[in-house]
Amino acid sequence: MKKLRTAIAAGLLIACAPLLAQEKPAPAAKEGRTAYLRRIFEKDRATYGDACRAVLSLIKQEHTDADFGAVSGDLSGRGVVSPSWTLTEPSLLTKGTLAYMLSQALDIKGGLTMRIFGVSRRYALRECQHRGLISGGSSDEYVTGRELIDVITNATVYKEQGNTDSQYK
Amino acid sequence: MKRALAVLILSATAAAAVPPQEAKQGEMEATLVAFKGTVDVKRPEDKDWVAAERNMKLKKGSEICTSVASTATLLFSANLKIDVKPLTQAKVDELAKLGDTVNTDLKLKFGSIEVDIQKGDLKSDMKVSAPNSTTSVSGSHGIVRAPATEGGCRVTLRTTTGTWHHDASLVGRDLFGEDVADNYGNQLRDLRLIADSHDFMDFWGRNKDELYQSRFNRKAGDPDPWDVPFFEFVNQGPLRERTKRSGVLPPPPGTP
Repeated sequence: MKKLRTAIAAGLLIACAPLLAQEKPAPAAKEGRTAYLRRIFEKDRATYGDACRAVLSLIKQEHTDADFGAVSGDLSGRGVVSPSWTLTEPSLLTKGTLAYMLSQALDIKGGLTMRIFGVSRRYALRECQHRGLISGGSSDEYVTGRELIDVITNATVYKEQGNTDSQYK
Repeated sequence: MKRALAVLILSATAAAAVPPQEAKQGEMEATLVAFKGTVDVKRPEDKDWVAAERNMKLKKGSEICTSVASTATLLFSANLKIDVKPLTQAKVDELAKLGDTVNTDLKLKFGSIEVDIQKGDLKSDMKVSAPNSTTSVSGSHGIVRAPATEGGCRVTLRTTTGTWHHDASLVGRDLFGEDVADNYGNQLRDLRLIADSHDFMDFWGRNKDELYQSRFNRKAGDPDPWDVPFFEFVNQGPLRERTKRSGVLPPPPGTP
């Protein structure tokens, strides 16, 4: 009888072994250094965290993988993001927010209205559209991952030469 | 029986000693001669993306990806060099030598590359494929950009000739001088000034006249926006916009 029980227990254990193995979380593979770019490219909606890292990379001219708190704090210290914002890392990114961050990062002073009334997301978007950094849309429109890549590419060219009329942007 | 066995062994040995097939002989490898910043590479034998190293060999099927403020220079043959610009992902779709011609097909997922073809012993048949168009560069120098959005393609070829083919509209055009293909109307505004002295097309392969016609709601084929007698002098006379513009820019280099 004992033998039978042992055999049944052993059989159950063997049968459940694959299930038990599946439950264990697979060790996270370390992603390549440009993986963030390919990940953003596939995203339907870019997040505020993506934008923060992209804009800080643009300022520092090197990609940063620091955690969101450090990146956000760095940008806040530089005045690129407004301290009044309550956005979190997974918050969806709007064109207005991105334009605000870009205008601050690239030190775009804007026209008369922006100089008198200060930078707002709506004015910043108008200014970025005028300078060819962002194409179309309204300040509440969400940004796709691909749009974010194009905007950062345009901003890189703008930072290098002061305009976006580049042949290679 | 023994003789037959000997013949079989000999033929098998001879077959094994024959060099790889002719197509195999033509296969080439690109060399990553220089890079700056963060550049990753994925070769066919690699499971995942790896950091680029100098003098790394990239064969057919290899991919390259550059980060912010990062560039890479690939040498495809002695006289064909390609600069991969920042924020770019590209794949070597074809790289083979057939006779005295090097066939290269680079698939651009997004970003920009700069092609530099010098004169040499080998001819270069260079193609750059963006998500929905293909550009053949047969001259000396050119830049191809594929924006990440909408899969468009902007081509600027300097002192060179080539052809551009749009997959969706099946339009093919010869490129000459500083030619530009683009899919954004707001970028075309900067190019209208040179539209008279340069060949010009938009994303859908329309030339300048076709493009202008589509901008005005009037009968097809009419080149003038104000088709009334009162404006005839402005339309056709010395004050005509195109007449005024034509003298502004010199013709592109190499214009016969």
